[in-house]
Amino acid sequence: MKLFEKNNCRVLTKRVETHDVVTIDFIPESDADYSYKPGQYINIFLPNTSTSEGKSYSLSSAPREGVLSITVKRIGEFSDYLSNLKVGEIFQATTPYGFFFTESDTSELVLISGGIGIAPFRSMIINSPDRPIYLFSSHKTQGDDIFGSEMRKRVQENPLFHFYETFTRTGGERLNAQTILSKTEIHKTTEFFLCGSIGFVRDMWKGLVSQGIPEEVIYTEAFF
Amino acid sequence: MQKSCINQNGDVENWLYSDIVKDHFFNPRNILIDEADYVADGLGVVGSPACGDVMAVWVKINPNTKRIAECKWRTFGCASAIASTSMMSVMATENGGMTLRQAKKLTPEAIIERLGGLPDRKYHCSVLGHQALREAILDYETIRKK
Repeated sequence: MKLFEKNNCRVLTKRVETHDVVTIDFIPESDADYSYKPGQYINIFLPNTSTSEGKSYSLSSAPREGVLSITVKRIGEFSDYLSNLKVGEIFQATTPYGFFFTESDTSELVLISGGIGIAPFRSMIINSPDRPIYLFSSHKTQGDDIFGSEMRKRVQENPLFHFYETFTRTGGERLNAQTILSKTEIHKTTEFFLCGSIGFVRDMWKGLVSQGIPEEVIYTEAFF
Repeated sequence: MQKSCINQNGDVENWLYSDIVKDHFFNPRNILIDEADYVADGLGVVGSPACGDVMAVWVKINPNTKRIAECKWRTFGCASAIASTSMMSVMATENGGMTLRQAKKLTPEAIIERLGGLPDRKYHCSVLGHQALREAILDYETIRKK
């Protein structure tokens, strides 16, 4: 079963994104197939933690970058341990899996993220420079802004990319379906991707459906 | 969150789950006890690292309409996993059955909505149902291409 086959992976480099978020580049040490579609995740196992069953982390790197990366937010024992791994250290992970990706090369994408939910969207955005993409990103404060400078730079470089960010604890409005739909050009081929906490994804899904967006164009990935 | 307790009649009071979840747990729909003589068009088997649950889903596709005609399953897991898969199988086959496109887009949120809600810590159970159905469809599409 794919979800349980573990391979050794080595930490190559680490980058600090915010006060509690790091990006880890890694390389598999076996010849297992680590090709992936933007949006997929790996299951990571850390035997020295109390979470022996492992946890899932979305790949934040894009396939075209030729590197494998995950972006980890510290929220407890497992993520603390993972974040503290040093360059050269080994962790175990499955090959990429998941269905949180579009099957179309040309559809317009509306990506809606809460906090660390932006991780898989970075992969989608970097890997698809030639399609209209709207990213709506919500964080608590500017200090929690993950990939914000990269996305703001991308807006300047790519007219097909639209970026809206809000910081909810410093006066920014909470994302809601009405606001999102008022800022996007919706077509029959537009697809929506939602990623964040269970409550964030649930509220966004309900909001979009209540605004008439068909369920079959909405993809969800909740972090738990 | 309400705590469950047993009353003097042996009934559970203040049930943690909705009546719909309770119904699908005690009366699961489309469960497949023995697959020995069941010929499916696609089979998906997934496991959850979060809890150790394992789920198998079998689908039959109507060759004329290309909709899901039957969706059978068996789950090794908790009440939420059983109820989630049962509800998923109902959603996949009701009203003439979902198209493959619709079934691929059946989200955990939609399953949970139909169940009347699940505790957040049981969210992964509906994820399993969604993944198992996707795997079964993928198996069908792969076999068809062969």
